[in-house]
Amino acid sequence: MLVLTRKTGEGILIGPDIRVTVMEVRGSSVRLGIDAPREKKIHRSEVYERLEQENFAAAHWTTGDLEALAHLLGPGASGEES
Amino acid sequence: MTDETSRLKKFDDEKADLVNLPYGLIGFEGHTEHTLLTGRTSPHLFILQSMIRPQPAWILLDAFQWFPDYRCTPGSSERALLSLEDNSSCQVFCIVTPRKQGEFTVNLAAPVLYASTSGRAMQIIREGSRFQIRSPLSPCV
Repeated sequence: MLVLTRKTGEGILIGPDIRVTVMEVRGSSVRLGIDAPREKKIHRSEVYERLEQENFAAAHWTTGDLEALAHLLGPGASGEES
Repeated sequence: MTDETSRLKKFDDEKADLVNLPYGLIGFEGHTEHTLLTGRTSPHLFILQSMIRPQPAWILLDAFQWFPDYRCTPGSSERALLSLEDNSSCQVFCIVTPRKQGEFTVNLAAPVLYASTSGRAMQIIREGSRFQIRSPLSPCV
């Protein structure tokens, strides 16, 4: 991992089009400003990691789960499997 | 994933579309090519299955059908990636996760947008919205 020391107002460039600036340091919190193209999605890492875990969990299901879900969703759901 | 969900075979009367997710699902970024099966067990359910081994699969349902107050509008960058033309819309699916004892939750915080016209899809993150990763699914929704 590359580790850099920056002061408030200073920043880093990631590639030619992403700029991260340290806006404020308060206690153990750092406020960052990020300039990036709109198509670059930026998320808090803990949110992304939680969604990774959720997608992994969602990939674990059985045909029994599918049938239970079909039953839960109601009319026209069950017993139509070919 | 379990053996049961791997390599699902398409039934004769089942509709299956090829779906390209340029960025994959979150955590499955290498899985860009999928099939979307419609009508497996229920007309309300969809199955998105990766074509890349070990072929993980996810159960999806239509977010607007089961959560009437749900709101999700693709932005300009999403529309561009999905190759959505002006005034055309996309389907919004949410991923279902089985929990214990026959209970299920639905991920409304990261829906899957699907444009059938282009065959492209993407999972987006609705960070900071009131919609949750584990929204309970019940028959009354």
